[in-house]
Amino acid sequence: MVKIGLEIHAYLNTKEKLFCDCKAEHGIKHAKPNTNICPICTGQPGSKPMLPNLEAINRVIQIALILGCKINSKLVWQRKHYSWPDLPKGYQNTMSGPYATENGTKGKFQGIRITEVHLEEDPAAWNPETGQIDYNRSGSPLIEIVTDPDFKNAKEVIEWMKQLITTLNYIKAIDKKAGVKADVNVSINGGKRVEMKNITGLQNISKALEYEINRQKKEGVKEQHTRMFDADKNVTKMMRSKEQAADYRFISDPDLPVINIEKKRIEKIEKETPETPEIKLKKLVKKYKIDSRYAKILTKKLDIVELFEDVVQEVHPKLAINWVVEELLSMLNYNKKELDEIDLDSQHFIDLLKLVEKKELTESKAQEILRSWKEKSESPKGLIKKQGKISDLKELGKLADKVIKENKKAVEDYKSGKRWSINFLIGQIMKLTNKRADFKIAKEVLEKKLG
Amino acid sequence: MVSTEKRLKQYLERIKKQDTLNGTGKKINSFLQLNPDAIKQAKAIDAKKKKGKLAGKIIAVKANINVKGMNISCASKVLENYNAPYDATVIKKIKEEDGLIIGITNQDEFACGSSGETSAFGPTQNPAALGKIPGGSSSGSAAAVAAEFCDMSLGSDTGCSIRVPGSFCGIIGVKPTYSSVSRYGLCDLSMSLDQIGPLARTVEEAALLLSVINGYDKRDAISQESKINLQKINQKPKQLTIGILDFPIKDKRIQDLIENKVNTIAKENNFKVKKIKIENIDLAVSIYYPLVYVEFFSATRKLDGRRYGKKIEDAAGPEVLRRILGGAEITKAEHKGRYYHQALKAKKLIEQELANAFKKVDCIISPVTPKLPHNIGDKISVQEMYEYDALTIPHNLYGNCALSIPIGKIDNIPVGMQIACDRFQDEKMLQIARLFE
Repeated sequence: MVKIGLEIHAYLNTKEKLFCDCKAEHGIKHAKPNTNICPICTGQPGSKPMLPNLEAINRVIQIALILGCKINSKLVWQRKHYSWPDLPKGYQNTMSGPYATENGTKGKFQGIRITEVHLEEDPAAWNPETGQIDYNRSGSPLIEIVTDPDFKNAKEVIEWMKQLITTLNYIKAIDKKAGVKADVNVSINGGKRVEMKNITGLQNISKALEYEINRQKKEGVKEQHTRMFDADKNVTKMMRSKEQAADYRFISDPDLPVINIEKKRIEKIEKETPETPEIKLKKLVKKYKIDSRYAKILTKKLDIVELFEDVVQEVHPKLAINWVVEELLSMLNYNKKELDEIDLDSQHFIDLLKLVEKKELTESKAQEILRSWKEKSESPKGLIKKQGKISDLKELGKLADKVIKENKKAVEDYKSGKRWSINFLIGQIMKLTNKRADFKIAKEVLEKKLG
Repeated sequence: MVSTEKRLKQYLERIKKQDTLNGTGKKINSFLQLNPDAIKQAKAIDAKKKKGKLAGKIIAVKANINVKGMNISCASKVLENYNAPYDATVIKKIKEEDGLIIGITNQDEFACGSSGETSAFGPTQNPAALGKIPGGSSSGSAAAVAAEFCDMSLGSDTGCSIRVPGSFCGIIGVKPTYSSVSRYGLCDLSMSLDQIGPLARTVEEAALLLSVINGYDKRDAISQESKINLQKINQKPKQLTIGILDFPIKDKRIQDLIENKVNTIAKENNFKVKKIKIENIDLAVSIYYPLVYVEFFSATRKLDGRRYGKKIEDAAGPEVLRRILGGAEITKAEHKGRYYHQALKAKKLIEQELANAFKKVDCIISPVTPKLPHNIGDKISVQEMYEYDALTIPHNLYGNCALSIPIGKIDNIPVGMQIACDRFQDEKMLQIARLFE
C-alpha cells in the first residue's frame, strides 16, 4: 500500500513582506531585481525584524480555519539555521520546529487530514548559474500546509491539490500565480519513508510521485532518506541520508515578542472570510435542483463553480448546467486546459447561451463558437455578425459567377443534362463563404445564371 | 551659543596629539575612524536657526552601531570593510537633534570581552590609569570620553559593557532599561540582553543623550515607549530606601569606599539604608554565558563570507570563536534545547528575585566590579576575566536599568559604584545618581 503525505508551500496574498514594509512583489514579471529591499530583508548587520505583518497572520488564521484546524493562541517565532546563498540572515524565521506551536493544527480538508499549518518567511531567489541573488523575494510571507500521509496515489494528490489551490485562491488568501511548491513524502507497504524536496508545480509532483512509487516497488527502501526530483530527466535522485539530515539548531527568536491570538480576533476573521466554493456549490445545487451527477462533477471542479454562479443568474438553470458541465468541460478537456488557462470572459459565455436560448444560434453553431475559444473568448454577437447567413442576391451573384468561371467541367455537365452537378457548384459557394451562404437562394441564383 | 565647529576642532586637536588611530599602544587608541565630513556637518549645524537638543555636542559611537557611510567593523577583521548602508535608530535620532558624530570607537571584538583587549585593532589604553585595562567591551567609547576627545559617547551593554569601562575610566556609564532604547542598527551579541546606552562625564550629559535616544521604535519589535524628564533629574528625591547589595566582594577596599559614601549621603538626606540579599545571584554568570553563546552563534550565522566581509570562523579572534563554538555545541539537536532552555528558566528566577528586591528598596547599590582592573597584556584565566561581570550581569538578566558612577580612587585607579533601579525607573536612577556626583 502506498502512503503519501504533503508539505505544501504557497505565497500569501499580502501587500508587504513579513518583517519589513517592503512591497511583497517579486518575480521578474512584477519587479526589477533588488528593488523591493531594505536593511531588514537583506539581513544587514544590526538590522532587526519589525513586528510581523498583521495581514499575513490573519491570512494564515483564515486558511487554517478553512482547513478545519484548531487555531493556537500563543505563538513564538523560531529561528531555523542553515547556510545557503539565498538566506541572508543565516536563519529562516518560522512558526515550526521542535519548540514551536504552529498557527493551526489537526484539521481536515476534503477527506485528507491536515497535520498543521504555519507561517514562515521565504528566502531570496538565487540563480546558481550566474550567482546572482534577487532579494525582492526575501522575507515574503509563505504558508506551509502539512498533511497526514492520507493519499494513496498521484492522481489523488493532484486532484486534492487542485481543489485546495482553487479554494485558497478563491478566498484570495494565496497568490496562485506565484506558484506552489511541495515536499512530498512517500512510503510503500509500511516501509521506510522517502522525502522528495521542493518540487514545483502539479505536473512535476505527479511525475515525481509516479517515478518514485515505481522505484520503491522495484528497489525497496533500506532507510529513511531525502531525494530530489530532476524535472529534465524525470527521475528522483538521492540527496542525503538520515544521518546527514540537517541540524537546524532551532531557537526561539529573541528579537520577536510572543504573539497572542485572541478568540475575538479568530471570530472576526471567520466572519469576514468569503464562502468557500464548496459551500457555495452546496447552496447552488439546492437552489437550482441540480441533479446529483452534475453536482458530483462540479464538486471536483471547484474552479468552475464561480462561473456557473454567474451564468445561472442570467440563463435557464438547465441550459446553464448543461453548457457549463458538458460543453465547457469537454472543450477544456479536449484542449487539456484548466479554466484559468484560457482567457474566458464570463459575459461572452452568458451572451452565447442567451443566443441559444432565443434560438438565434443553433446549438451546433454555438458549440463551434465555444470550441474556437481555446485561447481567448470573443463576443458572440460580433461573431454572429461575421458569421450570419449570406442571402444577398448581389453578393451571391458574384460568388456564382466566380464558381461558374472556375468549374467549367461541372457547368458543362449541368448544361448537358446532368442536373445534379449543380450540387457541386453550390458546395463551392459554401466553401468560399465558410458555409454561410443561404442554400436555397444560392441554388436559385445559380439556376438563373446557368439558364 | 558655543560654536560646534570650534569645539569639534579642539577635540580633533586633542585626538591628533593623544589618540593615534589604530595606534602603537603608547597612545589611547580609542578611535578606529574619524568622521571625514565632521567639519562640514558642524558648520551646517552652526548655520541652523532653530537648533536641536544636542546642538554643539560632540559624540563618539561604538563600532557596533551603524552610522551610514562609516566603517562599522565591530573591531573585527570580519567586518573590516563593511561600510554601514544605513543609520541605526539612535543615530537617526541624534542627527535629528543636531548632535555631531565625531567618529567610531574601538571595542572588544563583537563586544566579546570585558577588558578592551580583544579588538583586532589593538587594545585601548585607560586614560585615567595608564597601563591598566579601560574595561570593555565599550572600551573606546569610555576612553574617548575620559580623555576628553568628545562630550559623550554611545556604547552597548550586554553583561557589563558600558558600566565596567565607565567604572575603570572614571566616568558615567548608563545601561538603560532593556527595550527602552531601540536596538535597530546595533550589531548583535545577545539579543535578549543587548542595550545601547550613553557614556558621559556628568549625569546631566548622560541623561540628555538618553532622553534623545530612548523610546519606542517600530524597527525594534520589542522596544517600548519610555521618556526622561530632564528637569526632574535635578530634583532631590524626598524619601529613599537605599539597598546595599549583600555580596562577597574580593577587594574589601572597594566595598568600604562605597558603603562610606552611601552612609554619608543617606545621613545628609535622611534616607534609609539596608543590606539586601538576592538569592541565586551567584548563578548569574553561569546563566548568562549559555544565553550569550547561543544567541551570538545564531546572530553570526549571517557572517558567512558571502555578503559583507569574511567568514567569521576564519577571521575572528579566540574569544569570539570560543563563544560561537560554545553556541554551536549547546544548540545541537541532540541536546534538545536542554541547556539554552534551562538557562532561560534560571533567568526567570533571577528576574523574580530582583523584582521582589525592588519592592523593598528604591535602588540597589554595589561596586561595578568586585576587583580593580589588571594591567594591559597580563595573562588572566577565562574565569578571572568573567569575574569582572559578576555584579553587572544580574541587571541584564532582569533587564532593569543600572549605571556606573565614579566614587573615588584606590591605588590611583578610579572606582565605580553601580546604582540599579527597577525596570523603566531610569529617571529615578539618574535622580539618585545626581546625589553622588
